[in-house]
Amino acid sequence: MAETGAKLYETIALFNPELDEEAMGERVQRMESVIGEHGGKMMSVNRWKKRRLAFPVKKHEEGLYVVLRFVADKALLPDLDYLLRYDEQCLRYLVLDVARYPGMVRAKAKGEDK
Amino acid sequence: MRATFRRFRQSKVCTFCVEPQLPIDYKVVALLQKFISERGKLMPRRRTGVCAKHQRMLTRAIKHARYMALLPYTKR
Repeated sequence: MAETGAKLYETIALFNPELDEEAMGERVQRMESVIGEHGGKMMSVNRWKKRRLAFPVKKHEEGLYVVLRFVADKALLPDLDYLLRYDEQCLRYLVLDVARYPGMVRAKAKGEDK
Repeated sequence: MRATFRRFRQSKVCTFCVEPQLPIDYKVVALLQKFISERGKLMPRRRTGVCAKHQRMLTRAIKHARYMALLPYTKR
């Protein structure tokens, strides 16, 4: 049992560019609720505007990115993974443990790291 | 004195050691772009002068950026 195993994570997800505002909002909300269910704390949600991809992904030339930062226990990761993996509109996603990448852009919530 | 063959005599000190506030983040594409070649390949340390530690961090960041389609794996 990992107690106080909470870490700062960052998730970036790339979605189908054809999703409308509503569908995107719903997806972000679903991610937030998964995090909430596990007692995680949202630090920031960043929705990027539609962006040209460096190469086509599943035939899409553009994409919508969402970057979430949250503090949570690692027990939540399989659930988040499940959510994104089986969402057909989600083209790619990445979950990173921020503390492992010291060069990452700093958010204010980074007191634990040294 | 030996003639220097390389046209670029790039800085011998690591950019990231000189400016520790510079992020090495897969999201900061503009900065990462300086460390890949025109073909989208990783630049060697001997060309950029980046120290080993920061080169490792850069490599990770560039690979993450590629996976997320923020940077190309290859160009042209």
